[in-house]
Amino acid sequence: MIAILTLEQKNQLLGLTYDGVSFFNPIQDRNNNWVISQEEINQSSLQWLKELPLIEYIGPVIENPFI
Amino acid sequence: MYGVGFGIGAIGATTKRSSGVAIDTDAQAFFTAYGITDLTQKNAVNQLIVDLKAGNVWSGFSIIRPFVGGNSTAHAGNLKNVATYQATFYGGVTHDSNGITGNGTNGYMANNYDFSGANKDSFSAGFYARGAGTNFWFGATQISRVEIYNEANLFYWTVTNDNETLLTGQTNANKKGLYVVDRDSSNSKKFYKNASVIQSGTDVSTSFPSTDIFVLARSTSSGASFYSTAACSFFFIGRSFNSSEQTIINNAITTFQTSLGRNV
Repeated sequence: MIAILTLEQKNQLLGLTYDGVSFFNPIQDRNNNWVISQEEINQSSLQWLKELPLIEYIGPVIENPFI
Repeated sequence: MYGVGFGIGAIGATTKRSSGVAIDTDAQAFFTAYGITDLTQKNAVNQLIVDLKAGNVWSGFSIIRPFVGGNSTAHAGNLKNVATYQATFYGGVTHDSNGITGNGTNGYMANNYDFSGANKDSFSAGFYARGAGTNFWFGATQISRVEIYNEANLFYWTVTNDNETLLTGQTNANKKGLYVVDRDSSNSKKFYKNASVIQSGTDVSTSFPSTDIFVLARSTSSGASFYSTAACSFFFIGRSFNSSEQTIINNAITTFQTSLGRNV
């Protein structure tokens, strides 16, 4: 599960840790939305993150990693 | 064997555990650096080091990640040398008493590894898998490759060249244990499971990758991708280890995992 971020929210999270050690890693889904994972949200103390609705993650179209 | 182990441990010993067996200095350094206080974990780590030193393979490692402690701080530690190659975690990696687990979405571990002191014709990386997880268990795939990629009923793997090797007939239910990719000469590489060769190759080593080795994803110049859902209870990087050494390492890690109640 993931939560969709605005561009501003994504930029807020870049370089931040969610448990003091592990860094947030916003990525883009198949529709080019910036998203963050439920695992990061659960381990974070940022209340605005916890209020974001969670949805199923749809990743980018799978490419062959060996091309 | 106990006497030999005790003797080796005593060489760099500091204090004694309550059982009277000496604590190895490298073990104590790890406990201190990463706040390991649980006695079961400390005994397991200490015995692991004793076994690896007694088997004369300890010096062959650059990175040993035993994933004890159950949290990201401890799991980032390098047992081989607490002053080098601290890992960094990104995204949704879960940490627990079994080690680390990827979320298959954006979670991975960077080793922050520097290949400059390594030998492209003598190199290995090992991953203790708790079961099949999709995509790259670990990978550095830029210019050259060091990787294990998992898909249903097969693997792709290679070490220090750009030609991945396909291994079929690997059912997901059996993907548990210590998997090692090992470059043992300029024209020989081996893929081990629990110290047994499951495939070998003769493609020539070319160079090292120009990117770090990521665990639970692959690294390229664009960053991380192909995030895995794998669960890992041990990871290492080192020189090539021969057949006898693979057995020593596998036995030591098996003993370690069993002591922690997480052998697969």
